Parts: sequence; structure tokens; C-alpha cells
Amino acid sequence: MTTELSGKTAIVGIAESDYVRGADRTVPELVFDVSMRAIADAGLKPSDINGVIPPPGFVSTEEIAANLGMPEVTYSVTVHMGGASPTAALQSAAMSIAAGIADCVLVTFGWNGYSAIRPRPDAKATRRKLDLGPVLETARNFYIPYGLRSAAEWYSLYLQRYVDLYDVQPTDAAEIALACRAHAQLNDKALMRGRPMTLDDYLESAPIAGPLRKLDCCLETDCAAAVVLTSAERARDMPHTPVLYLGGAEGHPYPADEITNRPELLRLGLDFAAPRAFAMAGVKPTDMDFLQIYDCFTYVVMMELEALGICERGGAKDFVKDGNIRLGGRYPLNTHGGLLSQGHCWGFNHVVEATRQLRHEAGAAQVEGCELGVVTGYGDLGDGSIAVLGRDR
Amino acid sequence: MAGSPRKYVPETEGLNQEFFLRAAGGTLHLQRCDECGTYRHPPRYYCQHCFSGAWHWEPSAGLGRVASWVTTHFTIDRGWVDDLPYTTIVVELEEGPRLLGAMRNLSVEQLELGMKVKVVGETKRDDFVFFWVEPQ
Repeated sequence: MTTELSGKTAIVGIAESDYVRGADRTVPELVFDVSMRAIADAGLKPSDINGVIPPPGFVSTEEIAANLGMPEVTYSVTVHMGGASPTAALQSAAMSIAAGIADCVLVTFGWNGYSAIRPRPDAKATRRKLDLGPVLETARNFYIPYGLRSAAEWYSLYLQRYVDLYDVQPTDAAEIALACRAHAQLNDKALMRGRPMTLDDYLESAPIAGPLRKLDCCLETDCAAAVVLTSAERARDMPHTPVLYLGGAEGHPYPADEITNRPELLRLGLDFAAPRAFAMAGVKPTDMDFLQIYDCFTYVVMMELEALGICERGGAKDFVKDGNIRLGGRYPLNTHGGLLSQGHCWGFNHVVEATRQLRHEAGAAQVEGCELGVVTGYGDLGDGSIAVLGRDR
Repeated sequence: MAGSPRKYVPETEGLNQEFFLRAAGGTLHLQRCDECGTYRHPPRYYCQHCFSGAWHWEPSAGLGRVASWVTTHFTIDRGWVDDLPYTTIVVELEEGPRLLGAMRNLSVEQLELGMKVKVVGETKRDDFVFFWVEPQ
């Protein structure tokens, strides 16, 4: 149906900030810096960029264009899918390039995740706010008055059902936390580098909500990342091996703005999106050489693996065992450490890492000879996004 | 207790406010489609089944069964810190829709999927009602 988009565009520039708890710089400064570096990584100047996809909140296209020097922006849009936004934004970037509306598109995200959700005495306050959009209308009226204020509590409304229905044990989810932490030990930019985790650490970590322990939860982080896309044709004249956008999609659970009245409680956005993305790319989930899976919470990763179709519903607890998702295993997962152990950049660090892998520039975490990989996004009350990426041959 | 942070009470508007105003009158009301009779919650402008925009409020006894629950052990909500750990129950009402409320006069050990419970409103302000979930 949309196969004409497959392989027509490529990621040609990437950059990411450090991952810290309490940044010295403002969110716009972080975003400008990574944007400038991603553009340079592509061998371009800011004036070559005419498409901009900024994050939902914090900083606008107008400010980015004015600060970096982009005199003619022909396309701008913002994706409002929480943590699913950056990966979903790749689809909009690819469409705008393939349709001839923009030539080179900058997608960027940055935030003060350490203090955005709850005040921190050791973080600078900012007037720049996250725009969570109308999804909050349901939460404001029906969840937050009951002390369900965080994502951990909202997602537990279905994660609890998931673990009960499929008899998922903490030791199963631990495999994901442990794999991400092990991979973070190879990444200079990982917040948890130098802080390895054992199964006992995991099992002894404090309960948070529903099935979630502290070490099932990702890191509150200040950070930013950016990527640049252009046509595959033009990409072949650029400094790095092009990373082709082979397939992608977004999906929304129904209804997306309320969890408890969903007819299918365990059907998340990615369940809708993944089959479309793999069909567009003309490949199977089992063709993937690595998996960069949005890991806000370990159990969410398990549901996403099943939504991808790489294992059966309820099958993730077996899939993650025996080193299968570790570097050296068949499906290395979150080779940069993920949101759980590198830092929480709304999954944009997953896009950056996937690109590094497919360029064969991932250093100690390199998946040898990788050609194909998948990135997922997840956000708001279960929205999903996916990108199937491939190394240009 | 004096000095404790207050629990969040939302400013309501639109259909949600109508829902709470009805409940604040003493009786829970649910939206029901005039065309196909389907009940719905949270409030919506059109029926998800037949797409009709014609509907009315119908009183509900608030009777239902436990559909699921979540226990919170750590909260970023200062208004709820003193209540930790607290349990939130999703009730499937006899009419069909599910409603979320705070556990009262029950313990987590007693909870079972499908057990009979009732939803009891506590008016916090004329346009907001907090729901408790209790044994029938």
C-alpha cells in the first residue's frame, strides 16, 4: 500500500548530547547543539535544511531555524505521541522528502527529563514545557485524582493484566533490565556506565506500582538528539554509508486517550503499526539483526516484542532468555543501554544507535556485519511507532 | 492533617463536567446512546458503535465487579504520599462501562477478579466527584 516510500530516503546525519541528571544548558541550547552537529555529520550546512520536525513542546521550528540559520523552511510538523513521537516523526520526514516537499529534514528532540515530571531541588527550573496534549484530559479527570500521576501507574493498568494472564515473573522482566545495563557498560555516554547490575540488585529494588520495581523503570534524564534525512539518491554522495528508511508506521490503541475501557486492553499502538511497517519494508521481524526497543519499562518491552511478531503473545518471557537479547546473541536489544541504562531521550537515542550500528560505527557494541534493524517508539497511553532501517548496499 | 499537601481536584469542563455535576447530585449517571442503547464512559460526543450523536444520562446504582487493580508503592504525587501503599480498582459496571476508583473497606488480600463491588461517590466540589470502591 505504501511500499513506494520504502528505501526512498535515508538517515544521513546523527548527533546526541550527554545524558545527565540536571543539565547546565537549557533545553533549546541542547537541541540547537545536537541539531548543528547532526547537520555537520551529514556534511551539510543549516541552510541546506528545509524541513524541521521539533519535539512536542520545549522548542519551536521557528527558533531552530532562526538560531541555526535556515532561511527557507518548506515543511514543518510536530508529532504528538509522547515517547513514540521521534520514531513516528521519521515517517513524516520520509514522506515529505519522497513527495518533494522538503529536500533535507532535521528531526530533533530534547528535554529536561530529570526535572520535567517532578521538581528536583538540584535542577534549574525552566519555563519551557512538555506539551502532553489532550491525552491529559482523561488523566486529569479520571486517573490523577486517584494518585495515578505517573506513567508507571497508568501503564500498570494493563501491565498488571499482562503479567497475570501470561504468568510473567520478575525474573523474566529482569533479563531486559540486565541486558540494557550490560550494554551500557560499553557506552561512554551511558548514565549507568560503571554501575553494573546483578539479578539480586534487580530483585531487591523497591516496588513502584503494579508489577514494576524501580529497576524496571527508565532513567529520568536531561538530553537531546537529532537526525537528518534526505533522499537515498542524494545520501549516496554524503560522508557516511546511508541508512535507508525501509519501512515505518505509527499506531494507536483504541481508544487512545483512555485505558480502562479499551475492548482489547493488551492491544497497543505497536500491534497496529508493526505489520504495516514490515509489509512496507518487505522483510520479516525475524530478519532483524538487532532490536532497539523503546524501554520506558521492562514489561512494556516484552509487550512490544510480541507486537512486533518476533515472538508469540505471551512468548517474550522465553524470547529474552539464554542471552538471546544480549550482544553476541541472535537479537541484541538496546545495544546502547536504552532508556533503562543509557538515558531517556524519548527513544531518539535508539534511532541514533540503530544508525551507528548500520554504519558499522558502533564500537565495542557493534553487531558484526549487521544489515537490518528495527527501532520502536512508545508513548502517551500506549501509542506506538516503528522504523525498519537497513544499511545501503 | 494540617500541613499535608492536598490531593489534586481537577477543574472540569464540557461533558466530563456534566458527568461530575450529575454524580454530585447524589446519583452516578452514565451516558447511553438513544439509537442503539449502548452505555459509554468516559463521556463522548458520539456513540462508538452506531456513531449517533443522540444520547442521554441514565442513572446507575454503581454496582459492578472488579476488573483489575493496581497498587502504588511509590508516588510522585505529594498529596498521596501519606496514603502509601494505596490500591486503585477498575470496576466493570453492570451497564458495561468500566470506572476507576480508590479501594475502601477492602484489603488487597481480599480482592479477586470478578468480585462484586459498588462505586460510591464523594463530592469534592460541585463539579468534581471522587469515587470509592467498596464491597456490595
